[in-house]
Amino acid sequence: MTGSHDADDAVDCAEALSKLFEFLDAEIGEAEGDRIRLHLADCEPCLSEYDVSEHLKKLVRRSCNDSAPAELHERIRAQLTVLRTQVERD
Amino acid sequence: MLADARASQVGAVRPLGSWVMSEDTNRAPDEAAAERAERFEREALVYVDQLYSAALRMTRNPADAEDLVQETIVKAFAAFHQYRPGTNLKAWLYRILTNTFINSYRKKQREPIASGSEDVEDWQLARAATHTSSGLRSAEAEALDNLPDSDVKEALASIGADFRIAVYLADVEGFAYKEIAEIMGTPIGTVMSRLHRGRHQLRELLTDYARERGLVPAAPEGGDQ
Repeated sequence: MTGSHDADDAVDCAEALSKLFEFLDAEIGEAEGDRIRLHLADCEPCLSEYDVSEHLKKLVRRSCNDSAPAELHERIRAQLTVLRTQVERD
Repeated sequence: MLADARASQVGAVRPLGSWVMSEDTNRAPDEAAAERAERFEREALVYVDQLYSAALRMTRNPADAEDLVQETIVKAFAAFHQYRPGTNLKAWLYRILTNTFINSYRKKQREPIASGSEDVEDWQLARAATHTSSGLRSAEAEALDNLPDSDVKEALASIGADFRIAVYLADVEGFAYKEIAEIMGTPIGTVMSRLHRGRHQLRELLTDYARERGLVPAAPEGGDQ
């Protein structure tokens, strides 16, 4: 792969943007990923879109990690004990 | 000796693979159920915290989230014989969680259901058109990192349930589109559409929050549109 793309092969902005999330979520193959990488390296506005999307993805991940309250763990254990006794009795 | 002979004879007549405890034939189903119950506790309960975190985002309140997780675990326990060992247990549990939420909690919460007419071309066009309309530049994207978790949770809570579930499953749990499609019971195209719309709405909300907090300069009047 060189810096000069064939017209057939090159990804334009519309294509890069329409596949940005699939690229971000690792849902496209290596070869197609490389084509998008090449476009992002050359296109500041598209790279900017990618950066924002990547930050948002990480931000959502960072913000959602609540642990269940201890009472819920206890409630579930107690209920499973009851259910297991039923299973063993049947 | 007699017992040995009988056992090998039975084994010869009814080959049962590794399962040759012929004297236990009558009790075997009970034992399997008990073992399965034990395996359920060992393998499924480690996901309770993650399920709760997801349930909290779905229901948007702790009391409903606790009930939703408990109901999910009870249903999963009852259906555990249908779970095929070796497949993705976490995805299986999330499917039960999501179904339970959609079938009972969402109705209770009177949340609008996303329209069935979300099609792929629609968001692809919308997406292609947003190239220059962003209010954020790369450097400013980093300002988003300074938003408190509470802002992100609030933004998630204010977008449609189908959108926030898709975004949550992809971004927090890292499920593949195919898995999200199975969990939500929709085609992959719908998952992609929900992800696009959900992320787009989140981005607008969070950009507003970042501006309100002075993390991003206010958009110039009538400028960059």
